[in-house]
Amino acid sequence: MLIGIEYVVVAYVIWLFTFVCYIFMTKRRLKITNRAVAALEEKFTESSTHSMTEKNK
Amino acid sequence: MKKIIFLLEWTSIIGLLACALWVFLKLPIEASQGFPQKIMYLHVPSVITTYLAFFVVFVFSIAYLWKRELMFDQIAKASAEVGLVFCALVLITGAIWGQTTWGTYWVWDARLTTTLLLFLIFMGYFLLRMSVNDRDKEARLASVLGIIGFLDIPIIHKSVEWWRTLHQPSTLFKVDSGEAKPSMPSELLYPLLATIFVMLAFYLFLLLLRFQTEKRIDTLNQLLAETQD
Repeated sequence: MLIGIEYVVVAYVIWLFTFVCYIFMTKRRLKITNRAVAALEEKFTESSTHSMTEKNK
Repeated sequence: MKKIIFLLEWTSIIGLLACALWVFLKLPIEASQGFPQKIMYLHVPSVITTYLAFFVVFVFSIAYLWKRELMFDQIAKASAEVGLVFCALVLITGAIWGQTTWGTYWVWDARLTTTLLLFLIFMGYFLLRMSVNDRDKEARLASVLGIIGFLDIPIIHKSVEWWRTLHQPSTLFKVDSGEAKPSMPSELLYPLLATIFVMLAFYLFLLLLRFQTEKRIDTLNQLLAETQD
């Protein structure tokens, strides 16, 4: 009655596994990029504050 | 934006689970193909999502060439990546389904070959993007390739009518004496339509997630360029 069930299981598992990996990798990439952007922005703010105080001196 | 992505993510995942339960627990086993016919509920919605993803690439590539707004290119790139994943899954699930119905994973049939061509065109689309350093030039060249790549989709869709193929004709509707009629009983059609609808929501979630990532990557590259200056 369930002839060919292995093909169905393989197809659904491949589909599911692909998207689990894809979502995980995309979210990870977003997280890493966000961190890098935040670090660079902080560095910019620090350097501009530093140059302002230097000018005032 | 974050709230919309979160909402789309969970509604589409729950929706996909509900559709899978409907397909496996409620639907009868189809008489001619048997249990492997259930692959249709994965294969056909993935095909339609691939078409939509590359259509979005087509529209936003034209929009980019016209307006030169970076946002349009970011959307096109995000949609192309999601479309490429769906296209790969269409080829894989189609090959598995083919083995159970035709007795072979692959034949150089018009529908299969043109779908493989679509996959290769969009692989080339990403190779092209990787090989160009200038952001504007990258977007311009990729937009042209994205538009050309999309033109393969009408050929894929019509291939079963234009050439003699092993692939079955249209799964959803067939034109009978000028009228479009469902090509399967409603018992099998409704879960298929529901899965298509939910998979499109899932695509939208992936598109927004990728678009957000793409925006941040461009911001990062701009900041890095400013640091170097």
